[in-house]
Amino acid sequence: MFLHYFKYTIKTTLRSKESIFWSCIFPIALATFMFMSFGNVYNNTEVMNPVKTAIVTIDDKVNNNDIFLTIVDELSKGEDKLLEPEYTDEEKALQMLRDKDVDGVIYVDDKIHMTVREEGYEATILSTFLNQYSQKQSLIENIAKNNPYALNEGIVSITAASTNACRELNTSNGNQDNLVNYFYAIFAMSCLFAAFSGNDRIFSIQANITSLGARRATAPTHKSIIIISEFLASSLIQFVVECITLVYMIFVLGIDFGDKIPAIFPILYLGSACGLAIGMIIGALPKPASEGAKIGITVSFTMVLSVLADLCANGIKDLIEHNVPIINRLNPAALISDAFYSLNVYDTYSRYLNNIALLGGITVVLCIISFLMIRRNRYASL
Amino acid sequence: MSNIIEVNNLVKRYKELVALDHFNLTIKEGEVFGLLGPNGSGKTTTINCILSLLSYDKGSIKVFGKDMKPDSYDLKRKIGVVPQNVAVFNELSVYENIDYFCGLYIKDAATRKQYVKDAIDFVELGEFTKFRPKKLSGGLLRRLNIACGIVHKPELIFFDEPTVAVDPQSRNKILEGIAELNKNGATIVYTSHYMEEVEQLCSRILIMDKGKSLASGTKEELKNIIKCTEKISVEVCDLTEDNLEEISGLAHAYETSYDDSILKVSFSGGRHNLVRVLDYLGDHDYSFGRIYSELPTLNDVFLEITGTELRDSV
Repeated sequence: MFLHYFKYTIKTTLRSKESIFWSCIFPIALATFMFMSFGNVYNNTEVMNPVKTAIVTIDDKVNNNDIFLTIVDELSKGEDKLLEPEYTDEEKALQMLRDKDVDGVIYVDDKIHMTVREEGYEATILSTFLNQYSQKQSLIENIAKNNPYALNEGIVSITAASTNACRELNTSNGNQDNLVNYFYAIFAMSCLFAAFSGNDRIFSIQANITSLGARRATAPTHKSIIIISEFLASSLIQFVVECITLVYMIFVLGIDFGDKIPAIFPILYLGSACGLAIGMIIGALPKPASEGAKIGITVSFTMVLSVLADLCANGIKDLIEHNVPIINRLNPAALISDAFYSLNVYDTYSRYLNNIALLGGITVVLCIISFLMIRRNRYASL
Repeated sequence: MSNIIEVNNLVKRYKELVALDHFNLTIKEGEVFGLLGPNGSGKTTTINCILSLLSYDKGSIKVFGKDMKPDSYDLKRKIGVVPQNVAVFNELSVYENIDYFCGLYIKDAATRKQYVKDAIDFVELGEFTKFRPKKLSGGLLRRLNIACGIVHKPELIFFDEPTVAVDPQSRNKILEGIAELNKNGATIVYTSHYMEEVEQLCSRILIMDKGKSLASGTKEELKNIIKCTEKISVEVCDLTEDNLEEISGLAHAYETSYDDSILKVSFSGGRHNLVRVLDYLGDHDYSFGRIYSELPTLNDVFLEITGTELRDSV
């Protein structure tokens, strides 16, 4: 019996043009449009421009100023230069700052100080650079004054400390580009679109919604067998559809989902199952009774969940995480996209597994509630 | 013959509306039982209550001598349903649809295959097995609907207005098929608001309206309970009011009308009514054209019991 229902659920779903469009073609089309709209942004790495700086030498006879100017000179060389200095007098420098031709002005005097514009990361860079220079200059002067024999050792130590102060670390081999979050959200939305299939499954066994449901209700078959077989068949189809979307994104669009591809499959299956379960529970709601109203609720609900998981704009999910994190723990779309994210960002699987467990838990709970809602066998009206 | 269905004092309410009002029904094994009533009279509600799809407020329902409940799978296995609306999967072919519904009742694949073949032969859809429902005409679709309901060879079959929106040819096929199913041993419950179908097909009939049973029995029994025993129509010109009054006074005549040169006289009992009418017309030098003498039909029964024409009722 189980295989009989399973086989025919597969057939009816695969032959339903509507279901194939929403499950497969729509996410692929959306991913393609999104990829095209990002254009070169997705492919290019971000390049930082050197900070344009006016250097005003007030007193070139002061000791150590040569050292500072040499350092500035060194930082102004090469392709990844930090500074783009322009040596000028104070009046011109301030005019250039006002005209935004430079990001800051460094005064080389007995003490080195600077003036920068209020906003922008360039001011931060210049400020950090001068702070570090001043601290180290002061340290070296102290050593020279108090323990001149240790000066060489001190300089080596300070230089080493400076080298190790800030180091770029990758926590995994994944793609940590923010733009890939949009593609996670597409998967989240696509999985939730299984809800429409869930709607159909429930409609077709409810005697008060469809005549097909009424006919099936007269048969000597447990609803549980029908529901389980149809749930497994539909979730399998949705899972295959998600895999096709994944293959398309990786091999056609060239999206980098990191090196833990096998771990993506559980996300896709549980995401599909969860989407299906959402559709089932909406389909099983006693009110509104009409098919159209329930489909409307499904559309709205899945879209809201997807938007909260960053489908439309990056940052909504983070905002929720900082203010009402429980929503992200209960939103299947957020769990799906976060599972993708954690796979790419972290070397360990703990956050990924948390997401998977929550997704599975929500699915089971929704399925049980749906079943309890539709197990009543007699209807007040048909 | 044992009772297949026993419905006692069934009450079903939809909020204020009483859909079934202390409704009683007994159907015996081997019958073709007709449930006759206008739209909204409670025919489909009765069937849905018997099938345990609908809850009801009061009363009891027994099928095959046992209480019918939603989980009475042993009883459901013996029942076939052909619903009013075509209820099939649009994504499946004719063969697949019949196989699917057969699979709800029959587990064994080999038996199922044979049953599906038998059902296809029975409704003569052999040429269309690979067609999807959307490609079938209304009549063929109805036949598919029937095949899905009878494929598991049930002992009791409910046909809920199976000929609605079907052309006369397909209607005859369907009616012949139902008669054949009965001949093969199935008990049939047939609802319709087409009087002539019920008259042609059913061995016993129950007339219902507004959730109540108004009368039941064989065709002859029903016809005997009404006043009219004979209706005579004569084509005759220029009858006067006085003539009509005198005709109304003929023995056993109880209703007279004259419209478009057609005189209609209804009689309750009596013999030689036609001779008396024609004698009267001859005695008064009226020449007449076509003459009809009709026995009462189910329509007359229904009209007299409910006071409404069946097909026009809502």
